Parts: sequence; structure tokens; C-alpha cells
Amino acid sequence: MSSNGKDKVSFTLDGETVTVDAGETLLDACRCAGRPEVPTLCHDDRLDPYGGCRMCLVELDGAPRPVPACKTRAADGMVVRSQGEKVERVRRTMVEMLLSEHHDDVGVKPNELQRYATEFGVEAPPVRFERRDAWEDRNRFIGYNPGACILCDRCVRYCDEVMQCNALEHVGQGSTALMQPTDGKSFLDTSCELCGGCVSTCPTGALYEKQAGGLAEADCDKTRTVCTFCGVGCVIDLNTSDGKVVKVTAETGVGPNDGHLCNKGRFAFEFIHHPERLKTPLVRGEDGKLHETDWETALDRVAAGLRKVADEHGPETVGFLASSRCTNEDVYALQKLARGVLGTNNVHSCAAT
Amino acid sequence: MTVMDLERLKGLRGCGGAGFPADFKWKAVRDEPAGAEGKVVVCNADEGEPGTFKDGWLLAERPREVIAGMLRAAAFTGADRGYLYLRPEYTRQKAAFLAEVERMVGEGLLSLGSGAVWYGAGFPGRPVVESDHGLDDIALAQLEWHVAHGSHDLEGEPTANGGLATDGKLSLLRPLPPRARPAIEPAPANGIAFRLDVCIGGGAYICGEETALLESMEGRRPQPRHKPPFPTQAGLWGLPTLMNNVETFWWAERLLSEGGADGADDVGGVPGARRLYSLSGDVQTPGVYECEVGITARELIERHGGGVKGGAEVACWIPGGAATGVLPGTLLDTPLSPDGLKAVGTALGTAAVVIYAAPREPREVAAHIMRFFAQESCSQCTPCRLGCRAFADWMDGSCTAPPADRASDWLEAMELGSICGLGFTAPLVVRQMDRWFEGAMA
Repeated sequence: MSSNGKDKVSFTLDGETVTVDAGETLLDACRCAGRPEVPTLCHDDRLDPYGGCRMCLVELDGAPRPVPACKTRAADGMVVRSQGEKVERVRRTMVEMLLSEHHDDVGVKPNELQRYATEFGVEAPPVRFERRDAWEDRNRFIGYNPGACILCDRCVRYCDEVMQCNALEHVGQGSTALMQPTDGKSFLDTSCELCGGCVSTCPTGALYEKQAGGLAEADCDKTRTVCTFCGVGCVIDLNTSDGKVVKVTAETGVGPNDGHLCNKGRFAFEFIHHPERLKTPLVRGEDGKLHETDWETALDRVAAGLRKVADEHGPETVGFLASSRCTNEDVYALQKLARGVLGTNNVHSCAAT
Repeated sequence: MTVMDLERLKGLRGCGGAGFPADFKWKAVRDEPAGAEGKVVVCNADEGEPGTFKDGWLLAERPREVIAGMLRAAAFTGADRGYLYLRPEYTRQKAAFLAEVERMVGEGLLSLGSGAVWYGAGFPGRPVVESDHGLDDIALAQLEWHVAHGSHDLEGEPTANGGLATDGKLSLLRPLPPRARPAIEPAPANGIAFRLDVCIGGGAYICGEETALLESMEGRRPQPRHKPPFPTQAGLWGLPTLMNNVETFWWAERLLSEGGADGADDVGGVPGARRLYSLSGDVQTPGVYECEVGITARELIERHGGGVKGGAEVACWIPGGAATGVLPGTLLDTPLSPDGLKAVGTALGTAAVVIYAAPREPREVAAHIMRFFAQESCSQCTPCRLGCRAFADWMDGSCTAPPADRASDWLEAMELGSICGLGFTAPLVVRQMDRWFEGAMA
């Protein structure tokens, strides 16, 4: 509800009257009203509005100069123009300005800046600033190429607002400003949890997945699936090349995770192609060694073993521990088995701790 | 304290550069409802505009009137906390101010507990310069270009951030979170319940921008906020905040006190009739001079500055601090008033007049100003961060100048797209060069 107690506000957007929820930004309103895309670079729906890139400037009657749509809340009676020669020219210049500091030769991620450059027909900027020094980091997962950074602050704000880790910082000012892991240390020596959220939000590929080995996202096939590391059920996209997973991404606005992932979900996929990965159940033979078998045989063996112990020593001598990788439904079924079939309350899931 | 007649402030424009009507701010803060946490008065003493040193002089020599002005503002707006946000190089001013606070507490004018000091946040990695030495020239000394182009015989090496380490301690201060707002003692004998503390600034030009200043006080990176809300509505810690420049508080006190404390009755009825001009550069006797608004630069130089050094021609001059750009010597008869300077495309700014005698190069002066902006941009918004940098490069010739249409689009983007005054006034330096000289770019 707005301060005047109303929960809707009406204003004029590109000549039409629009009604939106109080508190909506002009950017949200433009999207709801189906206006042509208002370009943004420093904006991520998962973060608080920042208003730094100045790509989303729109004209607002009565304001001394254009206002950022991402940061301005709609209010009754506003008269807003989201398109027009002036703001479009300014947006184009912003792209040109950002290209002057952007050195993208890694090209591993869909580059939002390059996309706008192509869309607006911006060619070489009239000046090219020196590339920032390379950043070596001994962590295995998050790569950082300061040359491609456009200081949109998305990574820094993600790390602060979503993760509350503050493992990234915006240091310096003017021409020497840059993003870096806090205090200029390796990610491993900061409070970084290696969730890779900064990578997911970076619009230019300055932050990228090292495991992808420089492979561009466009060259990968995507398979949507559910992460198996825990019961949350995060929706993930396995990015594969030549039938091998090279990175994991998640789409904002999809699933319970809304584009967020933990370090396991995003980076711990190397086991998939590991030569020692178990692909079938193993049971111990009379020779005392483990042999591959099928699930039916293995489960029969487990059932027989459990029944034998319970029959000989009583149900209280049997217990069940569920993995945190099990879903809620799996864990429910397991406790049914324990209580209903075996008759014991010795049941626990490590996700409970 | 009696209810004041705000009419007596009408016409007083803020002296910190933007020239915003002071009475408007006072009224706006008075009219804001006071929540449980009250309201705040902040005195902006982060005097960083190159060429400006009148606030430093006032705090060192006339702290009583500045504090009295803050007290009046507090009584008028209903604020119970006041802060002086002081640039870190002003150590002498800090001592003078704190001594005056102590005296006023003793006299029953300020609440007990007044005078606490804390440090505001600056940019990580940027050292904050503190010094215990004579700092009358500190505002002059902050720029390399002042060392290179000004005529002051400054000693010492310019520091990396543009300051001058005469013999000062260079220390990296970690930003400390502001102390929890301490309790305010009941109203003292002769005054209102008002606690006055000092926050030492983060050591950056942008900290003088009012919302960046608030961010710094709150312990964050000093990046300007988006307005609205304005500080009068939601300022320090979200409280209604009245922020004025040192000189503005000083004038307010002179205008509102009965009769004027130091024979200044002549200004009592005419707010904005006089200003403190900081005169520096190639003149015989640089200094802070109180003059009627509308004095010309030539009169200022001749009446107070003792003439141009060596009797040389004036190659160019700055009318109101670096952000007001460079004017040619032929315009020395321009009245130094808001309207007079508006007519030649600029503004009175901080009323800091810097004189550059021949053979100094106007283009070089302008390029140095742009380099200063490029270094001092907080780097939050694209047009200021990259625009200032590009124009600095183009103007000092370190890279080839762009086609005219690109330069003009870039200026437009800076003027329309920047978040704060640093970015949207920086193009003035380029436009003034184009208007009065042979062009901004080589």
C-alpha cells in the first residue's frame, strides 16, 4: 500500500493511462503494460534497484532530467515516456560509453552489453580505455576477467543482498574503480561460499565458470532438470557439450530457487563423468568382494538382511538414516518403512541437522 | 529561544555551490512530522571544491557563529541532533570547533555530551589524509594543478589522491560504523536540548555532495543517493535532515541575530547581498574576503587581491570553484553574482575565484579540472565515470579527440544521465572552453 493508503496508482505511460500496484517501479509498469523493452544492465529482478548504468532512463514530466525506470516508483498523476528520440539517443551513448571500457575477448556468457550494442547499432566507441589488469584466483570455480567488467555492481549487490557474504567489493573511484573479492584477496580467503551467484548475475561475462573451459553458453545444449543434491528441488539447466556437462545454470523466475543455486548445485557436477562413479548396485559375494548386480537382487539382499536382524534381535536393533539428498517424499516413505513395516522409531534424516 | 521570522532569511542562497534557497530547506524540515527519532541538522564542512577555503577560515576563526546558526536551525526545525561533517585535513578547524563546543556546553547553550567525534566512511583503498600542520592553504593544495598552475609557494609533495602531505600523517582509516545515536541530555540552561557531534569525512570530493555525505556518515561507500526522497524528507538514518554549508549557517546567524554580532547590521535586512569570496591563484594577496555580491572579478583583484602577480595579463580565471569552468580575461568585469555569471553561461558556485596569469594555458587548466573530476567520480553511474574520464583524455591530448557529434552526445548523456551534480555539471567545463576559447579539445 502506498503512503496515502491506496494499493493502486494510475499514471500516464506513453500516452496511455496505466494502473499498477502501488510501489511498482516504472520498469515493472513498462513490462506489465507491454511497452517495448526498456534496456537495463545494472538491474536484476532479484536485487534492489541500483540505477547506476543509466540505460533505463525514461522521461518524466516535471523532473529536471530523465529518471531511471528501475529506481523510480510509479505515482499517481505521473506522465512518463519510456521511448523517444532523446532517451533513445542517451541510451545509445551509454552503450557506447560502456563499450569504451569493456574488453570482452572471453565471450563465455551471453553478453547483455554486446546485445544492446548490436540492437542499437553502436559500433566502435570514440575512445578505448586501457584494459584493467588480469585477476588470477586460485579457486577452481569462479573466474574473473576485470577487463570485461562494466561496474554495474550486480555481483557486489548479489553477494550482499542475497548471500549476505560481502565477499565482493567495489573499490576505488573514478578511472581506477573496480570490482574485486573483498580486500583484494582470493575468493577462497574471503567469506565467499562459492555459490556462483555473482557469475549468474554478471551481464558481461567478467565473472565466469572456470570449469566451462572458455566454452560459450551459446555452444552448449541445455537440459532442464532438478538438482539432486537436496530436497529443495532447485530447477537447473545442465549445459552440455559433446555429451558432457560443462556447467550448470539456473533461470531467474523459474522453480523454487528463482535462479539462485548453492555451490554444490552450481559447481559440483564433476562426479557425473568420473570414472569411479558407481552406476549399478554392488553386493558382497561369498568371496568377500563387491560385485555389480541389478537393483532387484540388491534390494532383496537388503530386505533379507534387515528382516534377519529384526527377527533375531528385535526391531529396536534396526535404524534408518536418510540422506539429505532424499526428497521429502522419500524421507516420508522411509519412516513409514521403519515404523510401519519394521516397527522401530529409529529413523533420522541428516537434513534435520 | 523565540520563534524566528523566516522572512529574514528569504533571499539567502546556500553557499556550498548549488545556491539552493536556504529558507526553503528550513521550512521543509520544520514541516516534516518528527518521528520518535527526531530530526537532524548537518553542517556540511567537507569543503572540497577546488579553490574554496572560506569554510575552513570560518571554522577556525568564527566557530561560535556557525554553531549558533546551527542552534537556530535546530530550534526552528525541531531538530535535537546536530553534526559537523568535517573534511579530514581540517585538523585546526576541528580543534577550534571542539573548543567552542566545550565553551558553549559550559555556558549552558549546548547539551552535555556534545563534541563526540567519529569517522565517516570513504572509498576503500583511499587513504584519508590527516595533518596537524598549518592548513590555511589546504583547499588550494588539494589539486596537483594548483601546485602546477597556482602561484602559492606550497611545500611538500602532492599525494596520490591529490592532497598535499606537508608533513602530515598518512593513515588508512577503516570506516567505523556511526556510534549508536547517544542519548540527548535535557535542555541546558540557556538553550534547547541539542547534541552537537563531529563526523570526520571520508576524504573524497564526492563526500561534499549532500547525499554522498549522508552515506559516508552512515558508514557506507560515499555514493550519492537518488532523489527524491530529498534529505529534508529522509536524510541521515532516514530522519528529516536539514543540511547547509558552513557559510550558510554563518549567514543565517548574522541575519537572524538581533543587530548582528560583528557590526554586520548592514546585511541584516538584505540576505544574499554579501558573500565570502575565496580569492587565490596569481594574485598578490590571496585570501577570504567578504564583499557585496555583484563585485566584479577585476574589482576583487584590485581592491583585495593587490593586483595580479607581476602585473601580468590574466589568461583565464575561475568564477566559483572548479565546477564553474574557466572564463577568459576579457570577462573580468562580469559581476560575480548568480545573474551576472548566468549571463556568461556559468554560476556563482562557491564564490571561489582563481586567477591564472599569462602564460598559463586555459586549455591546460580546464583539462586539469576534468582530470580531477575523472579521478573524483564515485564511479556509480556510467556517464560521470566514463564521460569525465574521456573528456580528461581528449582535453589533455592523451588520446585523439572524437568527431564533434560524438563529443556532443557524450556531453548530453552526462548532463541528462548523471545521478548527481558532479556528473551533470562537469560538461560545463567543456562547454565554456568551446564558448570562450578556441575549443576544448586539441
